[in-house]
Amino acid sequence: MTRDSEQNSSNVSRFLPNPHIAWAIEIDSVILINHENDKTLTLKYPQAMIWDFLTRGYTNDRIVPLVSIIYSCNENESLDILNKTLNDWLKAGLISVGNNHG
Amino acid sequence: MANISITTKCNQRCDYCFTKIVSEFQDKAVINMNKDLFKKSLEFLERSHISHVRLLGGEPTLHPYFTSIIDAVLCRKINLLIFTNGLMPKTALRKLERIEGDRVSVMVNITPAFKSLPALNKRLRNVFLSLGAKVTLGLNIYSPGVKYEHMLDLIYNYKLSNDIRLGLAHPCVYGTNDYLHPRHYPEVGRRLLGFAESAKLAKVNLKLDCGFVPCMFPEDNSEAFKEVLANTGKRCNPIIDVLPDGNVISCYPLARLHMEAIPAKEDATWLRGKFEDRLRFARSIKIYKKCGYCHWFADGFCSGGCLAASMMRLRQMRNSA
Repeated sequence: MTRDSEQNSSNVSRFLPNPHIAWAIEIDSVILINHENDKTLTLKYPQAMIWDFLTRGYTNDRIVPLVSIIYSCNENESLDILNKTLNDWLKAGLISVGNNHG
Repeated sequence: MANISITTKCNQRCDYCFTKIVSEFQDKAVINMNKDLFKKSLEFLERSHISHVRLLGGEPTLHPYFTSIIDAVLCRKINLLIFTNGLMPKTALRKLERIEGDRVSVMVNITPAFKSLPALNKRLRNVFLSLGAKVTLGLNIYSPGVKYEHMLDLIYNYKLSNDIRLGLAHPCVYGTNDYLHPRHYPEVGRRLLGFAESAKLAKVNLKLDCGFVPCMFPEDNSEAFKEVLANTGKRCNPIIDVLPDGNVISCYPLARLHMEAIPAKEDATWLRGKFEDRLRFARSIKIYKKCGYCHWFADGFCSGGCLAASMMRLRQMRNSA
């Protein structure tokens, strides 16, 4: 993602888990199961928290300030965390772009 | 131990029944195992050095060749335990009455319809009177309100076996059966521990099936608790269930995840290995969020409960959207 597209996508984009991905919420993590290859992935924080927000349908502009508050970082740093996480998950086929509703 | 289900036919409709998952995905009303398949199943078990077999259904005594099936087992060095609701045809009851020795025994599962229907009670009484100590009582716990004490009366009045088998009604993954949700386990455990003390006084042994977990019981130092604890925690592994159509599953709750044909040459150990490989992906999920912090789990005393119940915690976007 370019900085411009990051800026645009972070304002309006929503990402959702792909249909073949199942997850279970644990006390300190989220466990993902990819039904296409039966591989599991354990997400610790902050990624577990970002996943939880995605599954609730939060858009990026809602997630960024939440990450910022919880991790006591500014919103640029929070945006970097979020973008890196979303990039990794997009490449791994865990998520795709959802409806662009705010 | 392995299970052979010889028919999907049943004369009761228990909401928690997990064997109906077979009929659901086979899209057939009734399947009866044919004689050749039964022979093939027995050969597979002998090759696997399994000498104890449980006969399941539906209601296995309703199979049209039930008496021949019993004969086929008695010809081999295999002991048989028949899981039944007790509402068996007279031909089946007479066959079982005449078998001498202890190679064949009967597990009568007390279903929810018991006690509420006098005619049903009369038929069960006949079975108890005819078979006596060959009968072990069983009960599937499908709700926290299930009652246990009447089983002690039945054992005493009809001189039945001094064992009671207790099982939890587990969910079938992708199935529709009613099941006991793990949120109810502590209530079940509390009442069960009380019953365990009554059973101990009556010299009746409780045998717990898979899926019971230590944390469901209030911890105390009673003998009843220690005995119950010895039966819990670790058992969630492929049972090997042979279905009426000759397919084999790990267990009914996980039937829709993976199925194999009866192998031509390999044995049950090989088959269990295949099921373990297939199901390994799901072992990271436990029945509760808190399992990762539980001392029973940390100490290796508990493996995290029924895998099917654990998988019910999984969410997917198409269901949660």
